[in-house]
Amino acid sequence: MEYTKMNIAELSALLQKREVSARELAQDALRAIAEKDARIGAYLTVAEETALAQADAADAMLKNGEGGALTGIPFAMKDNITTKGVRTTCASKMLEHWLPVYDACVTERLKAAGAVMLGKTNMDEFAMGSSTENSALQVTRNPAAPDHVPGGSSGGSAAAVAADECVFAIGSDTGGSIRQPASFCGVVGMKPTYGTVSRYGLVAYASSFDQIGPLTKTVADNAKVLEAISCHDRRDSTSLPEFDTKYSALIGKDLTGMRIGLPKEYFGAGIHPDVARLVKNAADTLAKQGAEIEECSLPAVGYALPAYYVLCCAEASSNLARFDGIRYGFRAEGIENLDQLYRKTRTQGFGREVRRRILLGNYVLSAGYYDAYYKKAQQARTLLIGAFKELFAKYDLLLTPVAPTPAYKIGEKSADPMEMALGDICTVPVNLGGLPAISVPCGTSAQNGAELPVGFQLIGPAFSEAKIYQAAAAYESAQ
Amino acid sequence: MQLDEKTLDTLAWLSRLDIPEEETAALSESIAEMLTFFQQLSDLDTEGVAPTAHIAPLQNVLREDIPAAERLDRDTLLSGTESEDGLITLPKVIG
Repeated sequence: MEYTKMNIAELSALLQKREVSARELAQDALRAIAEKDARIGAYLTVAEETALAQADAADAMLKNGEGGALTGIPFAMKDNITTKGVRTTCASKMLEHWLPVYDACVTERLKAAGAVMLGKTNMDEFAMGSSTENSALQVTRNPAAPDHVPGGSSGGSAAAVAADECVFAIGSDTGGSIRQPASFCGVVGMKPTYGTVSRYGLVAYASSFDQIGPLTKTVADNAKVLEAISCHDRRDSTSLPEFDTKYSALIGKDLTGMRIGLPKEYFGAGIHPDVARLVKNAADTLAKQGAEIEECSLPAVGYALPAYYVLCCAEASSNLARFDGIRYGFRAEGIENLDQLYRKTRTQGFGREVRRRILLGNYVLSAGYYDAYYKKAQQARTLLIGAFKELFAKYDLLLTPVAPTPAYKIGEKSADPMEMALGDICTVPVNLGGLPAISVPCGTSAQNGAELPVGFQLIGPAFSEAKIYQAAAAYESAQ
Repeated sequence: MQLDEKTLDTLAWLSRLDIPEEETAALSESIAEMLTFFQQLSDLDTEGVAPTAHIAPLQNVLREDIPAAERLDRDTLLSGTESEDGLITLPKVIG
């Protein structure tokens, strides 16, 4: 029996009835990883011992009637989220052998819920990239077409869910890093409202954008995982103090009266015709469920991509200054003075894309360029936030593509960082606005002899996750 | 378009990075290409628009110092780090 093909709701019912134990589920998942992962490359670390110990603890919880929705469910964690005693590499040589001494808030929450962590997943180094090809440690392949990328930066998490090497996975999304790989691999991925999932223990890339979220097989599963990980946490100074976490509350309710806008700028030049067709088909399905669909306009998204890249590189250059070869992580050898210690360690420890973004960040923050780039991008961010606000006065949600194209071949874009960046056009506006958005599978595009998954994106105002899940679940149930 | 050598050197120094010779041309071209892309922002009218540094509606409020039992002890903090007598050890970097 391959239990990892099942979803959380199905497995939870079996666990509660004691028809299967958490240990059996963990063993089954570890078997699936052993069989498949040499081909997929989703995991950087498989934590077999930890997983079995957590499974036994989950069985004890279930026996005492203390279990919840995630008790005994096997999952995978992106490797930029700290896990005490299990190495956390950020897919970088800089942290290749780093054993964290503390758990991230999300890790603590999932442990407390009795979920079983199978291991840590591959990603673009320090989450900088959109294909997982920037990992310094290994290649991850798209389970739907192994010569294609899984997307990124949470490519390992999306591939692990799609290949049934876990039941759900945790990712992080700075400019689309949960939603785009979810779309490329054909799974559900949610980037929640900024501040609703603690970043304590998430290795920082661009702090004003980074947000942790779930990748799952179904919409209902996604809401359940978000309910488990979302909370106020005083250890994250940007964690919001109060908000409703009943994300599953509206699932199953019909969509009558829900207003959904289709911003025309997301369907223009550069969008693959299959992507545009499949997303518009999804709009038709939502209309049949009772939603009112209307074309609208969001011209401010035209500035989103340059604004995002200015700001994320600036924040990255500051955040990654901590990797200096002194306290933890990689340290270069043959050092003669302090400047050399810093420079050799950072040059040898960081990959090419990470170094490129640090250099760009320091450029836009340097005297003489600060106003022209950094401040200007912050002002563009203000304008975009205002434009979203105006649209959400009229619409409950916005429906767009997640990425301009389906997954591309491994190596096809990796030599051209600019082309890779242009692929983030549909996802970065959400991060600039701190908004919640989901990626939901809506069909496949036949290319290069493969059926490549495509997802649509539903964007809502802050704290509208329940409504997003309502619409996404209505679409899913109509399939 | 390429960045001039002096600018690239200054950036490398600010970033505490070396730029390997074989990467210089490609890196310089790629940074220049991104900077050209960023120039699109100059078309945007931002007169009187306040910059957004952060999306969360949070204020910097000081709270009481509350001792917590969860503090990590010295041995835990030093695990995985080269250390001696409870102190981090480093190569000699001052002449």
